[in-house]
Amino acid sequence: MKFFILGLYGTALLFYLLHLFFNWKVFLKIGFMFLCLGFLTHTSKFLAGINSPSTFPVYYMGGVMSFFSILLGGVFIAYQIRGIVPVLGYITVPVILLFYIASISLPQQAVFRQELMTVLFPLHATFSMIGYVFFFLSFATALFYILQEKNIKLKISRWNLKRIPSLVELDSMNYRTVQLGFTFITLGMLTGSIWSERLWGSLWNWDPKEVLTLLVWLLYASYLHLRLIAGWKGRKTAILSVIGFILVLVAFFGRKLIPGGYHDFF
Amino acid sequence: MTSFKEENLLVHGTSFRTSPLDVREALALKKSEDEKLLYKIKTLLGVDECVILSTCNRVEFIIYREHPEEIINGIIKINEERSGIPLEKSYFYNFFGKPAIKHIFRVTSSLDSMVLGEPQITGQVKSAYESSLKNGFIGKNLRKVFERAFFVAKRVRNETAIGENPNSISSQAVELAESIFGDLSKRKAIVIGTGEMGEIAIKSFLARGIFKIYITSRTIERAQELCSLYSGEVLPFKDLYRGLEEVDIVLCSSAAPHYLITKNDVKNVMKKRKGNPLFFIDISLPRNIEPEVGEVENVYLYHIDDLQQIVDKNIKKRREEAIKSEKIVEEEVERFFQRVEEEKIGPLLARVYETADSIRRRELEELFKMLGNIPEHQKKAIEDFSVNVIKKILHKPVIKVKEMTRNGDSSVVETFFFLFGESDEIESGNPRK
Repeated sequence: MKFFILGLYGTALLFYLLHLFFNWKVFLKIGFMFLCLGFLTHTSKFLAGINSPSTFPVYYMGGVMSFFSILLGGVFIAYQIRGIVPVLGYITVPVILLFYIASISLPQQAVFRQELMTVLFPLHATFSMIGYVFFFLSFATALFYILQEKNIKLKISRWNLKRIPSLVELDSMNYRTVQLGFTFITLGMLTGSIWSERLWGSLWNWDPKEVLTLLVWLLYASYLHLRLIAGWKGRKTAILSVIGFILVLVAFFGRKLIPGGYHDFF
Repeated sequence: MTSFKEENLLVHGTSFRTSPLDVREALALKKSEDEKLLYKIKTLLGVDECVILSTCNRVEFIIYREHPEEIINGIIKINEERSGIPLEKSYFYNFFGKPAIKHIFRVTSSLDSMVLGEPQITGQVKSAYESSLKNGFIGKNLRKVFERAFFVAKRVRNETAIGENPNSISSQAVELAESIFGDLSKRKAIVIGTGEMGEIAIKSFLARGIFKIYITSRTIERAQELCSLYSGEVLPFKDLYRGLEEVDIVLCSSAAPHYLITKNDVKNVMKKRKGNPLFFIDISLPRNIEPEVGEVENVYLYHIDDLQQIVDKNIKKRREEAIKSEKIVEEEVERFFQRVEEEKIGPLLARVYETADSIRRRELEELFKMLGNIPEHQKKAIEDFSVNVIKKILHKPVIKVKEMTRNGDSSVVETFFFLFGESDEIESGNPRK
């Protein structure tokens, strides 16, 4: 089963790359079909293993990776069905595959922990990860924005300009994904606080991961603020969302590098 | 059943290569004139299959009829009458047979266009064909030719990049605007100056459905004239800066000897635009927009030289793609005639099979009489056996004869049918002899 899903995702990536180099629509269609198949198989396998909050596989790195790859796949498929920027697939599909590979090569064993057995914890993890998915998409649109902007500004057309969406479309998609990501990360932080309050009696513990996530939250909050109040748009906000996503990566993985705190299961 | 005969096909026409514009204008079809003209050609010249293609760059009559060379003078005469001008024979080209097919394929694929690879021509050929179809002037011969021509045009478009990059300054400007703004239907533009280049650009932007165009000029009369032509709105020159806050695209083609818009102006404007991008196209000489304007955040400035450079590159690319396209056309012309040849021997081959089959049945009947009462399943086995023998004996020669036909080796093909007693048919059926 593992390798079947791996094969589906791998084939999807192959066709997205073929589309990148040959620009034939049929490659995109086939790639998308395989991606959907991979997503559906992966999701059903994932869901089949859940029957209570304690079996929701977000207590260990392997499960988190797998869940992230599903969420990213689902959101990306929804975007592509709505006809928005199929070129985003060049970045997104490799990441889906990468996370899936990571998930099957990392330990799958859940550490049983009594304090985690509440519905709040999976909720907290799910909201946070949906937030990360949208931040990733804002990062991807920002990269295309910066590339396309550079092409137009410096009057070089190495790429066929038409293949990348217009600056205005990329910019507004960047804005929307940041809005969504911000909403979900806020929900994630709220559910996390309530959960922590129930367990330890305090909403905030200055745990390293909490602090890093707060930084992420502040950065995207300032993105939204600058956009609304100072009229920032385009390249500046694109760069901000790239920085934001780097911070997300630090908060997501870099936690391992800092000792202490109770987010020690990942 | 008569088959397609290449010597019956004629393309009689004139294009930008052979005649001046005023001649082509006089010859071009007026609105809904096509039906009348088609009937005229039919009644006066006895033409049953005809397509009339009329664009601003060419007027062509594509005709399928026996001895089409006889009616060329007739067509010229009809055209002299309807255009009211004397027509010299040198204005026209006449293609017959294979060159005619090739010409039709090239025209439909936009390889003979003034602007190489421009996409409109395929649609124009299609509507000319459909008009003839509607009026009953398409028989199976022209249908075969045109259906193939549309297929070839599609192949050229799919397999080469001939139509991909804009090859005029105004279309390149429009494409850049689309790379910035996407859909232009909600966008507004200001055109400063009323020169010829500006007018061409207005047309290109309107063709892509731009929402609104303001025209500003120091001579207000000319601006008003352009506005009434293209349903724009006059913007007094003193209101230019207010306009910059509202629009998305600024096209400058004025003849002012100095900068009309400076970096500082644009910086101030951008503050009020809340960061919404602004695209300047400066096609005036000397420049009317300060080059440093392009350094402002979210502002894009293209000068005519920048556009020209991209266009030159694109044209070079198109020429390379044209070579590929010509190869496709050559290939398809050959394939077209192979098909015609194959279809020609189709009925003959069917007759060979029929003859063989009737012999088989006769012999079988006699055999069954001789054998008397035999079980049904044995009868069936013998019958199947006889069918198989015929199929297997004829299989290889038929494959070979099809191959020879494709290669145009008519002597072997004739011999084949001669041996099977069908020789007199092929002589009337093969025009290439």
